[in-house]
Amino acid sequence: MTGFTFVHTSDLHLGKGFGQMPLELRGRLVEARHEVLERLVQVARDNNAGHILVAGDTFDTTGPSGQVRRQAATVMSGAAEIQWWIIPGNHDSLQAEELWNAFESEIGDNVHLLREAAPVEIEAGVFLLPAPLPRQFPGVDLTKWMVDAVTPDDALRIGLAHGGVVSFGEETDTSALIPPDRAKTARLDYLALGDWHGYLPVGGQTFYCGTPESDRFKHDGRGACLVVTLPESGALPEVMQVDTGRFEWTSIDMPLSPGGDAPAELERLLPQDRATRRDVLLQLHARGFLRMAERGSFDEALEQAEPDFARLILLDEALATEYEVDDLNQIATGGALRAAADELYAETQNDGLSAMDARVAQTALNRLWALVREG
Amino acid sequence: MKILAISLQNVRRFVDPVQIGGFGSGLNVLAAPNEHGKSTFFDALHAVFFVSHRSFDKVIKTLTPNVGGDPQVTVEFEADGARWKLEKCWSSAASRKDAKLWRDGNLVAQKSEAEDVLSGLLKPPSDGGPAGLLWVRQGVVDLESGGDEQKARRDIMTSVAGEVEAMTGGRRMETALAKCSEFLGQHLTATGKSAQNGGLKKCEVEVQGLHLRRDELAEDVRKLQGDLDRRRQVRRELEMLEAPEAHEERHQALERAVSGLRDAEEHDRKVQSGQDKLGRLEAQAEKADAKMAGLRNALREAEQAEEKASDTGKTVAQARGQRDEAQSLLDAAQTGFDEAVHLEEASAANLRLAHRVDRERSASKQRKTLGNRIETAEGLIKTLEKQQKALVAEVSTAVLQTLETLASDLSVATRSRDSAAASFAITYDEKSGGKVWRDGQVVQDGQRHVVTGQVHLDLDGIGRLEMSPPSDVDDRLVREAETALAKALAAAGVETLAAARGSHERFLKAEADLRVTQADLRAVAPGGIGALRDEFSELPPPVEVSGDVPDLQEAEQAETEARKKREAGSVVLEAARTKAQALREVLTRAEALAETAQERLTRAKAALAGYDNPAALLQTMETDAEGLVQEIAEARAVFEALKGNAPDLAAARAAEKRARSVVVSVEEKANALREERAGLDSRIAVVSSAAVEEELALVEEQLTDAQERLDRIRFDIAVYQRLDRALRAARDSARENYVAAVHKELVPLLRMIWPDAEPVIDAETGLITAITRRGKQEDFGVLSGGTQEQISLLVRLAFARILATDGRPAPVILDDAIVYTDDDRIEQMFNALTRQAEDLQIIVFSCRQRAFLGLGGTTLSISRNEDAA
Repeated sequence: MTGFTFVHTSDLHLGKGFGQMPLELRGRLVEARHEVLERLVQVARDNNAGHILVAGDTFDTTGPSGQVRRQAATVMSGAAEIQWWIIPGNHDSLQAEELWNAFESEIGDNVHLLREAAPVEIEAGVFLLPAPLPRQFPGVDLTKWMVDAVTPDDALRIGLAHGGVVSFGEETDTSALIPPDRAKTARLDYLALGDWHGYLPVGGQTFYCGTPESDRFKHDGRGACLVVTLPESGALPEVMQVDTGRFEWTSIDMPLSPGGDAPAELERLLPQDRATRRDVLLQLHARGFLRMAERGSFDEALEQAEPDFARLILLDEALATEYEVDDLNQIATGGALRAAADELYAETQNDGLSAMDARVAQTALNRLWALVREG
Repeated sequence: MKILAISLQNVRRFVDPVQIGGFGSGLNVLAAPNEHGKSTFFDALHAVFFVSHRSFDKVIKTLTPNVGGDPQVTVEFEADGARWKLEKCWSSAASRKDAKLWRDGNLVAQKSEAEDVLSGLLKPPSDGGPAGLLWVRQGVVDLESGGDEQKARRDIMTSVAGEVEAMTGGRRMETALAKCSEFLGQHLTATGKSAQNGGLKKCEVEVQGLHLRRDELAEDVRKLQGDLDRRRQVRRELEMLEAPEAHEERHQALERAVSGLRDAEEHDRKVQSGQDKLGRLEAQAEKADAKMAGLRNALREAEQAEEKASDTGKTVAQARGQRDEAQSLLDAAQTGFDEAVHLEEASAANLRLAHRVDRERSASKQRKTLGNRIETAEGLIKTLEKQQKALVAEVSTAVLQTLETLASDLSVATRSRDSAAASFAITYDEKSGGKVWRDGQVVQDGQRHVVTGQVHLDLDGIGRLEMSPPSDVDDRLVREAETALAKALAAAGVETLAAARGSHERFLKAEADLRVTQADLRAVAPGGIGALRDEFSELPPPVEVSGDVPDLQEAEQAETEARKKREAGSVVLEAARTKAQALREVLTRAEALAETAQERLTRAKAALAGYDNPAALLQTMETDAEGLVQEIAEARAVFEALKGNAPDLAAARAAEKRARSVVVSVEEKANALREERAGLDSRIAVVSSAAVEEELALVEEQLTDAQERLDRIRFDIAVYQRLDRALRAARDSARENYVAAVHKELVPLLRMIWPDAEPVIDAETGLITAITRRGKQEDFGVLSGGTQEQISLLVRLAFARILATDGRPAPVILDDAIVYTDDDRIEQMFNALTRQAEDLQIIVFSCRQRAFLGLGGTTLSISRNEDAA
């Protein structure tokens, strides 16, 4: 055997609705998730890989619509030369009997749903040791059985599991954490893990591949899968990350301070190729201080840039406006307008006010500046 | 503030440094032809004060020379008691933007800090007035270049409005408020509620709808999860129930339970039989025992009755003897008692006789005493009657008081009459020896006589003198008093008052005697003589006593001894009677017991009458009973053995029942579970096909998005509401504070031009809308251009005065401000300017060199600034 190559993916979350997104974007995101199946097949073909291992969460819920389920089965089954090996994850555990029963009735012979924790020889001398999730929170380490799993000597042992080696968040079942050295203790040549939506190697033989189509700002970049080649039993795998995602989800931290050129800084941080911005969802964490006029310019620049993007979100809770007398002079040097501006300014400086009231006053003052400027 | 000098470089046509210096306190005039640069200085002056050095907006761009370069303006001024120098440079390059500020020759601030200090110096009043400089510019260029005169006039109004705007916010304020209202109107009703079809309402409805949908879906998912959980449980239970080994085990258990119950019931029947036999034997033994006991008792009763009858006969005989003896003693005691009674009666009769004699002696003594008292009392009564008669014959105290009163009345009446009457007195001459006679009596010498009636005096040797009393003397009262007194004396039986007084003294003595006699009588007969006589008559009549009269003391002693004897005899008699009675009762009881014993003996004998030989019979029965006891012991041993080995029948029955119910209930439960599983499968299939979980995830995300949008809208509403409140409050405050002040300052200025002029200021806009002259109101728009510009200038001057009054004097800077004003009127305007310039700095830029020669003040000129160059 000269090496065994396969594609490692997970967390497709087919059927995810993206309800928090604008309607027109929502459809594009949903569609992109479906299309990633084709892209995975293409990656397998491009890399002469005959197998795609899905490490859980193929579906976003235990009850996806029949349309989502059927169309996924159709795409998977359509690439007959590619073998799909699927374990249920916490989002689509084996508790979803109706889902998996229906799915099994709809898939072709090249698609394999792994319900049992038992070795499966997926190719001569290559054994897959799956750890399907029987329920959302299994409460135990489902990979433990792999230690005692019997396979022929010199066979390749590939573990396939879904869950954390560390706590990934509140929903992680800490009692079910997978030991980071599971590959070693179970003599695995590769442990393909899912659940973490970003790429994460855990030692030389254990990998999280990340989602093939990003769905949140937590992990920057587009989605990807891993093309893995196992040279021989006991050898370290060769792992290559291949982009598969269409949409890039990016969080940008943008510290700002008075005297700088906020519009220029913004333009510098944004993707330079305007054509690619259509598929970019960008979350801008603006923080620090801007003078009133600078804030106005910044807002204008954002307003200008926003239509280029699939979504451009400004998070400005940490961005305060800094006022100097000269700023208020730009509203009015005297009279009633100045009196109103002074009153609002005083509220922005009043520690006795609630944070919300102070923020309202600050925004009202900025708004007054903008209105006077427009007028 | 007072401006001292200004210099420019790279400002429009002034690429090289130029300056205007020598500004004075009052009027300052720069009169120069067009294109001389006046407006450039005007704009530069405005920019250096009010445009930030960081700015490079269109205002600064208009200052930039065509040949390029960074505009730079320096101004020197006085403010807050110090001399200041401000230098600003505007540039498109950030590094060249600059602002510097010197105070009294020392650099005190740069860049933003300099702007802040400057802003403080120009700070408007805290309640929102115009800033510290006032600007007047008019459309002179348009006119001079043959432009539109109407537009120029609008500019005049605009120019006026500019200052008002500085005060109330003006158009920019209205625009800002309109924007606020427009935004709020998109979301809220006039009362602040969500407007139908407004953005807020739509978003609220969307969120509400999503909440409802989310809850519905969550409930569906919850039910689905519940169904799934339940189905797993049902399956597990069914697997457990339907397992063959479990089925076999349940049936074997039932068979074991049935067999066990059968064995237990058979054994129980044996136990019951043994128990019945033992019962029968015990009953038989009990019956024999009862019969033996009866016979044994009858024999013992007959024996005891016989013995009792013998004993009671003896007791009766003994009691009867004792009773007879007691009766003899009783009879003797009765005889002794009777004798004592007779003796007591005799001594009592003797005692009564002795008492009667004693009482008669006492009554005789009392009759004698009472007879003496009655006799004394009768004597005193007679004396009393005499004394009373003597008392009546004398004048009593009351009568005497009446007489004394009448005598007093007479004396008063006489003195009264005599005081009114005439009187006379005769004084004899001893030598003459003659006398005067009245009614035959010599009238005594020196004695005064009252004449109350006709008086005739005979005078010896002279004749008769007749005197009459004065006609007004009234003697009637005297006569009436005399008559009353005389009648009273007669009634009292006396002739004079003196006699009456003597009689009254006797009356008092007789009265004292009478009281003594009455006291004596009361001592002898306290209750009166009648009571004495009654007491006497109640005494017993005298009694005749014949024979020996017993001594009372001896009779009493004899009677006492006889009574004691009788009492002692009575005690003895009672004791004998009691004893005799007690022995009679003893005898009666003994006789009754004897009778009862006899009856008992009769009954005992009757009970044994049916037996020929009761004792032999009893012996036979006792022998039979011993055999029966042995038989019972054997039967009991058998029963106890069976009972001790008996299985628990109730437990066996319960086990059988439980095993049977397990089989039945398992079957029933399995059937129920199969039905439930079918129902669950059906429900889960329906709900799963509806993809509720996927929809729930979608709706939750939609809800998050909608809620965020709603929060943003609410935040924006709060922002616009806050801004709206701040703007309205500031505008209302400015109007309230300044409209009246402007009117007050403007009126004297207007009247320097038009003596009776009265401005009409719109309270809403703060603008002058009309002017009243000679009783006629004229709208501002129909006034001539010259009049409009004059009014606008005067308004500025009024503002300047308000600032000066507020302690912040502001220079007034005029750039061709009165271009339309004719030569006659301009003199009056000069007067107005001169008046205000007394405490204000006024800087006038004008192209009308000749006309402004008459304004006076400090003449300014533009010169090259060699130092800067």
